[in-house]
Amino acid sequence: MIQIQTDRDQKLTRRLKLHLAMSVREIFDAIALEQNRPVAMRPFDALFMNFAEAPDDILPAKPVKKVGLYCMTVPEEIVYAAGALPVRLCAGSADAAEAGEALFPDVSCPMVKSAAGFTRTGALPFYRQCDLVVIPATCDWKVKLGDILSRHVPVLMLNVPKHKTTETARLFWYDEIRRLCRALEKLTQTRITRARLRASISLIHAAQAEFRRFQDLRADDLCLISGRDAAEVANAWFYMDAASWTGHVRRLNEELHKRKQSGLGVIPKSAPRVLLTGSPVIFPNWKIPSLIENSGGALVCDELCSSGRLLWDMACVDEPLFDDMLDALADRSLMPCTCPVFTDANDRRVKLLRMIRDYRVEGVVHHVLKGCHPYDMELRPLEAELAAAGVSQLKIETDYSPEDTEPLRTRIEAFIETLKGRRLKSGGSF
Amino acid sequence: MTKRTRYITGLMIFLFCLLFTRQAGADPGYLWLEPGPQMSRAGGGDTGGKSRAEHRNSSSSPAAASRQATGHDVAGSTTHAPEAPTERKASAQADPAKKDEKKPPREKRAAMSHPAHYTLMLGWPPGPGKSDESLLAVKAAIIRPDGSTQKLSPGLETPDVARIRDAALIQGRYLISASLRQTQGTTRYRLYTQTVMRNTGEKPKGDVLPDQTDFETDKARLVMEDLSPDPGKNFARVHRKYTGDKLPLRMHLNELPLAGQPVTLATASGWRQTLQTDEKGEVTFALIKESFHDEGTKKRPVTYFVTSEIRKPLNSQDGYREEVLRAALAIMVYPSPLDWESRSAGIYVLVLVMAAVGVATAIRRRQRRRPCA
Amino acid sequence: MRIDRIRLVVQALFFIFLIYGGILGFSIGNAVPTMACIYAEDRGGSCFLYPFQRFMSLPWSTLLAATIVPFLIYLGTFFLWGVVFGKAFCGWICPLGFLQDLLTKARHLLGIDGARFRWASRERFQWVKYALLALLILIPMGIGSSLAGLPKLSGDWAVPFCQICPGKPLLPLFSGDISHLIIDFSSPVKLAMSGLLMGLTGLFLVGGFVKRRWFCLYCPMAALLSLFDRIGLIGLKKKGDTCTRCGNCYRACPMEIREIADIRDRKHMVTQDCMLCMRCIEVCPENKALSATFLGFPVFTASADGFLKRHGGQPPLTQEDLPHDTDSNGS
Repeated sequence: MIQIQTDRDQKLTRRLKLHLAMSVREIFDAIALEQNRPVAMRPFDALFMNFAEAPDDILPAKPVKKVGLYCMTVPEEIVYAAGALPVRLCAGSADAAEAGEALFPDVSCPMVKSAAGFTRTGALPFYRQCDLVVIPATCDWKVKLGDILSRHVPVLMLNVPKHKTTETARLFWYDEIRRLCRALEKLTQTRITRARLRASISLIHAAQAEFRRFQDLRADDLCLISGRDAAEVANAWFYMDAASWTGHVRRLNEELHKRKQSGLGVIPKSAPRVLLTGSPVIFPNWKIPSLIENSGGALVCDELCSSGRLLWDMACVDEPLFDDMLDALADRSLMPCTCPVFTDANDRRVKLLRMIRDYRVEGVVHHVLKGCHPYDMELRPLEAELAAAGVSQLKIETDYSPEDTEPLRTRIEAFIETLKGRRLKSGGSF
Repeated sequence: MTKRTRYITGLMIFLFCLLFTRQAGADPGYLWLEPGPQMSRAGGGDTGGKSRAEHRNSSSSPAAASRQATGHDVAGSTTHAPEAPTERKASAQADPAKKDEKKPPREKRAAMSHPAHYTLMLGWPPGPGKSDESLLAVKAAIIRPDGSTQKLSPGLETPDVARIRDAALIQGRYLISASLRQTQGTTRYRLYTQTVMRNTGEKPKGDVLPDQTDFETDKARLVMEDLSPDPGKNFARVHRKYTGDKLPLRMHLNELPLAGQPVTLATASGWRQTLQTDEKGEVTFALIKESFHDEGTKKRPVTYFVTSEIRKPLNSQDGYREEVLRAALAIMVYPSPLDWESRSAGIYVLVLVMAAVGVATAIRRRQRRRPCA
Repeated sequence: MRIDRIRLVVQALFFIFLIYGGILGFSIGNAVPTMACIYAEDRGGSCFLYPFQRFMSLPWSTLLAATIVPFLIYLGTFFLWGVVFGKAFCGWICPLGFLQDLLTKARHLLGIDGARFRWASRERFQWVKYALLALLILIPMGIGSSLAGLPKLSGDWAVPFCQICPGKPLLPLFSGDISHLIIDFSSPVKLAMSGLLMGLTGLFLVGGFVKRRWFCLYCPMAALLSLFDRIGLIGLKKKGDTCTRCGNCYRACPMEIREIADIRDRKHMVTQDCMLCMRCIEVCPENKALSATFLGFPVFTASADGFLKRHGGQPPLTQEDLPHDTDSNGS
C-alpha cells in the first residue's frame, strides 16, 4: 500500500482521467442524440456521467465500509449483511487497460488490465478506497490479479472449486464462504446474524425480482429497450446501493410496461433479435451492443456475467437457520454460474438454448475478449452444438480499444443482413 | 418403621428360622396347602382335551416330580399344561380363555368347574415340604359359597401324601382352612393355613357369602386371610394370580386384627420380603420380585409362600413353656410379561443410545464446522 | 403459505386420524401403506406390513388355499392405495415421518444446525431398505414352512419388522401406552430384537433431530411404494431445459435426493426415496422447471413469481408481465 507517486505516475493518472472523461462524454453525446429513450434511464446516465464529471460521487456517500468484488461468485448478500457496501470493480475502460498494460503479458484480459490500471493510478478513487477487495480465484487472470492489487489495497482471495459438481467442491466452497464471512465480520466489526442475513437476502431478492421483470420485458416482441441501455442498467448494479438500484429499475420497468401497452418500442420489429454471450461488457466498453444495434439488430438478451447472468439466480433459504442460509448463498453463487472457468459447459449450453427459445433469438454473437481464454476454449464445442440446434452465430474477438470498430461494424452488419435474409427465407415478415 | 429395620427384622427372622431348623429338628415348621393335581371327575370331567389329559398322566406324580424338575416350583405346573410361549402379553393372559373358546363345545359346568384338591404339606417354606400319614391328624374344613360348612378329613393317596378333597360344584368363593397341633418338648405348636379358591360352575342357589364359622375350637387362632378381590367374570383369572398382581392379606389373632406382625413372602428360589401389618392387621404384597430374574422367562408358574409366626411364653399347667402360632399360605403365581420384559432396561438402552449417538454427532459436527482460519 | 406448513398441518390431521381415529370408530383398514402402528390401541387404520408378515408366515398350503381370497383382497387394497397416493403416503400421511418432521421443527426452533449425509454414505446405505423388505418376507416364510431345507424358525421371529420398527414403541405412546418401551428377556431372539428396537428407537430420535427424515432412507415401506413411482397417479415432472442446476431443490429436499438437481434428461423425478413433499417445486426459481402432476395434469408448478412471493420479494405488477414461456408467437 505504500505508494511512490512519481512524476510519471502522476502524469499517467492525469492522462487516464482525461481520456476516461473523453470516452464517457463521447458515449453520452451519442446517447443524447437518441430519441424515444425511456426517461427512467436518467439516474443511470447520471451515475455514469459521474465517471467523467465527479469520480468521487460515483459511489453512494454512505459512511460504511466498501468492499470491492470481482466476478459474480461472491454473494453480495453477505457483504450487505456485514453492513458493508459491495462495489463490483470489474472495469471496462480501454484507457485504464493501457495504464495497466505494463503489469501483464501482451495477450491478457483487458478487463483485468483495466482494473489493475484503475487501482494503480487511482484515477477512479473508489478503486483505492475499498477497505477490502475480494477476488475469487476463477480464471488465471483473477488468480494473479490478487497479487498485483495487494500492493495497493487489502485483498482477500477466495478459492473457487473449478469442478463444481463434486461434493468436495461444494463443501470446500461452503468453507470458503465462511472464511469470507469471518473476514467481513472482522472488517466491519459487525456480527453477521440470521436476521441480518435474512434482511440482506430479501434486499437482493427485491433487486432480483425487478431484474427478472426487466428481463421479461426485454423478451417482449416489441423491443422496449435497447441492448446498450440494458447493459447500462445492469452495469449500474456494480456501483449503486441495492435498494436505490431496485427503485430506479422499478420506475424503469413501470415506464417500459406503459410503453409496452402503448406499443412504443425503441427498435423496429424488423430488426433481427440477437443474443450476446461471452466475455463481460462493462462500461465504458459498450462497443459491441452499440455496434449490433447501430447495424440494425436488436440486442434482446445477453448471457454475460456483467448483465444477464448477474442477478438471475436466486438464493433459496430452505431452513431458517444461519448455516443453511450461508450454504444456500454459497450454492447460489457457485452452482448455477455458467462462467467457462468451470469444467462443465453443459449448463451454459442449456441456458443459451433456453434463452434462444424464450427470447425468440435469431442470431447469437459470441463475444471473446482477447486473452479471455476460458470463453475462447469453450467456444468451439459450444458453436458446434448451437449450430446443430440451427442457430446462426458470429464470433467476435476483440479487446477494449476502439481501434477495430470499423472492421467489426462490417462483420456485424453482414451478420445482421444474414439474419434478415434467413427471416425472409423462412417466410417471416418485417 | 424404616425400611432398614424392616430388612433387619426379616433377616433376623430368616436367620432365626435357619438356626431353628438346624437345632430343633423336631420343630414341625409350617403347614400349608398346595393345590393338588386335579381330580379327574368321572362322567363329566375334562373330557375334551385328550392332550391335556395325557399330559397330566405323564406327570402324574405331581408334587415330588415337578419339584425335582423345576427346582422348587411347585405342583401347579401340572394342573395347567405349560403352553407354548406366546408373543404378546395380552394373549398370555387371555390365552386360557381363548383356548377354551376354540375348543369344540362341551358341557360348560364340567369344563369350568374346578374341584378343591389340596395336598397338605409340612415344612419350612420356601423349602420343600413333606406330606405323609402324620398329616392325617390335620383338621380341615371348607366353607362353600352357599354357606355350607364341612369338615374334611385328609386322605392318604398313592405316593403317600395326605390330601383333602372337595367336589366344589358351585360357583363362587371357597374357603379352605386346615390346622395342626403338635407338641415338641415344652413347646406347643399351632399351625394354621387357610386358602381361598374360586370356582366357576353352577350358580349357588342363594348368593350368600357366609361368615367365617368357627369350626375349630382352638383358642389362639391365627388366621392369615387372603383379601384378593373377587375377579368376577374374568374367568382367565379365576384360579390364577399373575406376576405383578397385588396380594392383600389380613392377619387375625382370635378374630382380632393383629397389628405390627411381620409377614414374610418368599419364593422357592430364596427371594423373600418381610412386611409388617398395619393397625387393621392388613398387609399388601406385590407379587413380583425386586430384582429381574430368570425363572419368569421359563414361563412356568411359581409358588410364593407367605408365612407368619407368633411365639409367646406359656405358663400352663401342662408344663408347656412356649406356644408357637404359625400361619402359612401357598400361592401359585403365573408368569406375566413383567417377568420377562424389563421396561427399565428398555428405557436405559434407549437413553444410552440417544446419549451416545447425540454426543458422537455433536463432536463430529463440531469438527466439520470448525472455524476456518 | 409455505408448503411445508401446509404439509405439517395435513400430517397432523392424518396423525390424529391414524392414532386416535379408533376412538370414534373410524378405520381405513389394515392395508394402509404407511407406518400407522398396529400396536396403537385407538388407531384409525393400520400399517400394511403387520398383516403382510402374518400372511407370509402362514404355511404355503394355507396361504394358497384357505386364505388366498382374503390375501388377494388385501394385496389389491394395498395396490389401490399405492396407485392413487403412492409416495404421498410418505410425505403427507406417515405418522413416523410426521414425528421426524416435528423433531426437525423443534431443532429449527432451538436454532441448532442440522446435518447432511455425505453423498457416499447416503449411497452406501441405499440397499438397507431393500434388504429389510426381503427379510420381512423371508423370515415369516421361514416360520410357516421350511425354506431350502432349513429348519423352521421359532415363533419368536414372528413379525420381524414390527419388532424392530421404531413405530412400535413410539406411536403407542400417544395413546398412553408405554408398554412397548421394554427389553424382552424371554428368549435370545426376543432379547436381540427388542434390544435392537430400543437402539433403533434411540437412533430414530437422535437421528431425526439431527438430520431431516433420517429413518426414511431405511424404510422398507418406501421400497414397496417405489413400485408405484411410475404408474402412480401423482407425479413429479422436471423440464431439464429450464433447469439451471442451482441446487436449491437438492438443498431443500428432506431426503437429499441429488437426482432432482443434477439430472436434466429425465422427466419422471419420483425416485426411490422421493416422498412427494413438493418442497423442491416450492424452492425452484425457474418457471415450470418442476411440476407436480395428478393424472398427468400439473397441479403445482415452479415459478419465479411464486418463489419470490414465498420469500417476500416483489411480485410483478400485472399478470401480463409474466414471462413468455414458449415461442408460440415467434417470428
